Amino acid sequence: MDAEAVVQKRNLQIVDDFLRRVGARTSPAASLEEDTFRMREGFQDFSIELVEKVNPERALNKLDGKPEHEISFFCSSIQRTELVGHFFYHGQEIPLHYTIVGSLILKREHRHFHVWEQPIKREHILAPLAFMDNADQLSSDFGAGLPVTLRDSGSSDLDYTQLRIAAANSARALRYECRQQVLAQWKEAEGSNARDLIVINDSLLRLPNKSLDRNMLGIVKSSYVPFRNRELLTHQLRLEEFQRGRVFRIELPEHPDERKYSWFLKLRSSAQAGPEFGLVRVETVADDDEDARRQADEFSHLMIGERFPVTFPARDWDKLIFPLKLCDQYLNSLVPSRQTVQAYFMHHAD
Amino acid sequence: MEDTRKTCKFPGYVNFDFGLIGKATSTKDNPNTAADFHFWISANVDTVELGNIVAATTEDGHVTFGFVTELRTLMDIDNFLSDYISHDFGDPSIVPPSDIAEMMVAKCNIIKSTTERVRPVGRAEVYFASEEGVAWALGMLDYAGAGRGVPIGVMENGDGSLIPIFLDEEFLVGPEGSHLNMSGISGLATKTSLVEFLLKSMMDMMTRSKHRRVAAVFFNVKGKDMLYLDKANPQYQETDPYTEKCRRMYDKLGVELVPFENVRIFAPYDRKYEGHTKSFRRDGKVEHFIWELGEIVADIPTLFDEESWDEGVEAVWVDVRDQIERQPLRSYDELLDYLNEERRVLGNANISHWHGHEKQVFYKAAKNLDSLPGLYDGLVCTGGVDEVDIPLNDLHNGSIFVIDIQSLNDRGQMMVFNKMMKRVYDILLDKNIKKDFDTVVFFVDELNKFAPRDPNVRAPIKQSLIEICARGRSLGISLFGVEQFMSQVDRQVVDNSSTIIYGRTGPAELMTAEYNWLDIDVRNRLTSIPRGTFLLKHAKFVQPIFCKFPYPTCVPGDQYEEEEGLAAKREAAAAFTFRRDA
Repeated sequence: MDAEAVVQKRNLQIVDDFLRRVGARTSPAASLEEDTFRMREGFQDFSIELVEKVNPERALNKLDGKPEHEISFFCSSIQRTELVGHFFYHGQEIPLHYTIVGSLILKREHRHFHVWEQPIKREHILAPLAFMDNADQLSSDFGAGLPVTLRDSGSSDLDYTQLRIAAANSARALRYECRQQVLAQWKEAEGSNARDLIVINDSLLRLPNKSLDRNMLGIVKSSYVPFRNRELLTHQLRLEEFQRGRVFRIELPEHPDERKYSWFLKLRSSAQAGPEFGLVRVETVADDDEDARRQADEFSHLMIGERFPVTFPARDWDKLIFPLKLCDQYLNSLVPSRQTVQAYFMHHAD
Repeated sequence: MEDTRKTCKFPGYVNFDFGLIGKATSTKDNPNTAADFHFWISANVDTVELGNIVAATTEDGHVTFGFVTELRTLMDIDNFLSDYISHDFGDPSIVPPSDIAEMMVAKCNIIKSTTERVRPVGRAEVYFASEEGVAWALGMLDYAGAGRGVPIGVMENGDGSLIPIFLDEEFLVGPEGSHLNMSGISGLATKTSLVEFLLKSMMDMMTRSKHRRVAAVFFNVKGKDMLYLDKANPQYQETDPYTEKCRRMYDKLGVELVPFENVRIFAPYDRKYEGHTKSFRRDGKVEHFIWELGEIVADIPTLFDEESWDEGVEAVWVDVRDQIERQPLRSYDELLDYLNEERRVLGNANISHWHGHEKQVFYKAAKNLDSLPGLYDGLVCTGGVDEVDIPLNDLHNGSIFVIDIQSLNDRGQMMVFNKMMKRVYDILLDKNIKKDFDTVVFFVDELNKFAPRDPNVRAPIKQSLIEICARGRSLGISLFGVEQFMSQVDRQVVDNSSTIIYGRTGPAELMTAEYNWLDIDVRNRLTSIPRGTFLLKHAKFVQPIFCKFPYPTCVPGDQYEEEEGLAAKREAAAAFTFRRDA
């Protein structure tokens, strides 16, 4: 057996040991929790403020002058949570999860890619510690030093479905931790070069502004966001190809200092496609509104350039740019397949 | 890599110094099997080629050797349409900001593994095999170490190393196996040059090792191919890189870069030319031969086509042979006189039959026999020329007889070839004949003429060739046969050859069954391999390998120019001495 397989088997063995220790039965689910409980961007009460009154209605595939920036880095993250076992607590079924999270930055030089520094990958057992009799001892026994560590899935509600959703949310928080760590490393090492941009495959809203910079762009592929006052954005679905929407500020009322700027951008269009085809939302931080407007034009232009090569036939190829697809491929190559994990715990089922 | 070097149980078999060249991988669509494995090639390595021999090192310290039979480039593109779209819907001048990820995957046929367990390669680090590793994998260490290795060329691996390749003497000239067959299109100076090089290396090696005592009989069937074995190759006065490389090959293979010694050349008698030889070589080196009736009488029917020598003529010939013995008729001139006398007697209108045969049939037979000295000018003694035989009894260890039969038509060539073969056969079988050799190598080009696969083509010596290919290895006869198209040579002749060499081959020929066993990329490679390169299949090798060989030590016949005056005479003489079947 090769080294990677040995490591993976050992990691799964740790999860199995944990299940035995708490008297759980192995009961792997057929699908990932992220697929079962698909989560949108969140349900926080974001509010938006328009920076521009009208859409610029200008095709940004061409720009006056040469761009000041160059997209050289791409960041993406992975989160995979699997329900692997259950135990009884006061007659109630308690789910136990195994999650793998990770984050990676690819650097592009002369049109070719290589991994920037080391990708981060973490493996955890997610369990609701509030319902475990010997939580402290377990946390100690399955804590630092092991390649798979125990983390609290964080729910105090004995509702079965809520326990599973809580586990998926915990995994997401762990993914954000990884992402924040890798971006902090990048900012420390490369961020001072303001010319190089990094494109991050997710929203920046949950990242504190102190960990961000003007050369960091978040790309969000879902156009629906439960903004409190989203009626201000009614025209976003009618953008023409290569146009961007109005720049707006987003902030959480409780964190007004964590303001980000955002705008919609139509990467490509098709007569046969729906209005969301090719529509992405870009997020960044800027010094002020004027700075944000200037960035919006240039960054949109650069992002439009990234529409080639296409990632067809990926499910969301109209929005997925090629470098981010590469990031995801790399991250997926680091983790065992869902079938492998499922087969392992099926095999070890009592 | 250092860890692998330490844990590897056979570090000498692996070129660790060159570094890792890839990693073995197995996928759902392309799983590794016990017979082959795949590896992706490191982005920094651009020297892996079809035909390289690599070493896959596994965690248990064992090494599996593979022959690269397929190289594929994969791009991260699902279909042509997406790439078309990626270029802004078909604009090839578009340069997208990202280059599509591209990788190269190699498929290897497994040659041998240091573990005796037969199972697929899993995850493994892949390196180029070292010289020692290649020698072990091909089984050469055993016989080359025992002094039985006959150098045939070098394998140039992707790490730039020139690895000497040896044939096992016991499978080249017997007794375990024997015979060599070589095919490939003409005009690339590969087939003849390789035979010249192999003969040289074989003679050198056998003279040194004293295991075997070998003599050679070569037939020059076209042009000047084999006529100058004793002349040094002037190419070695050059200092260009390839010639230097050839010198290195000689050093590596331990073959002396000097032309052949002990070469004698024979050609049919030429009554017009003062040197009396029907040969393009006119420097006095060639000796002539010509045979009297007694020597050729048994072969006479084979010298005519079926139309000229039908059943009626054959029946007459039985009675003529009877008269040859009864009279007796000792020379062809006497036979012609006898036939003339019989014709004169038959001129009487009252006589309708000769010895029970219709007069007309006799006339036809007599006409054939009349024409024979003209058809085979130089082969049959007439006009008072004395018989001179090829002195096969002078063959000795290390000697080479070249018999130049290019001036004869196909049937004449076959007769000479068959006669020499039978005589050598007899010499080897007869323990009363003193001889200092135990093996004779026969070389003949255009083997498809002598042993055609098509059963409808008349080939009087095909059966004896099949017999020799089947039994020759135990008697000490080894046939080195060459042809353009292997598919046109009798299957038994090819199948009995322990060594098969493929030179550049046309695509139509490669579609025949003879080449089906080769992997498709290897087969396609044969359509374009350069001069001096060939694919070698040897009884001791599990997989075929691509080899290179140096310029031969002797001058290639078609490149040799004799003195100006002699050359002019040769051209003038060629006009009437060069007669071939239409």
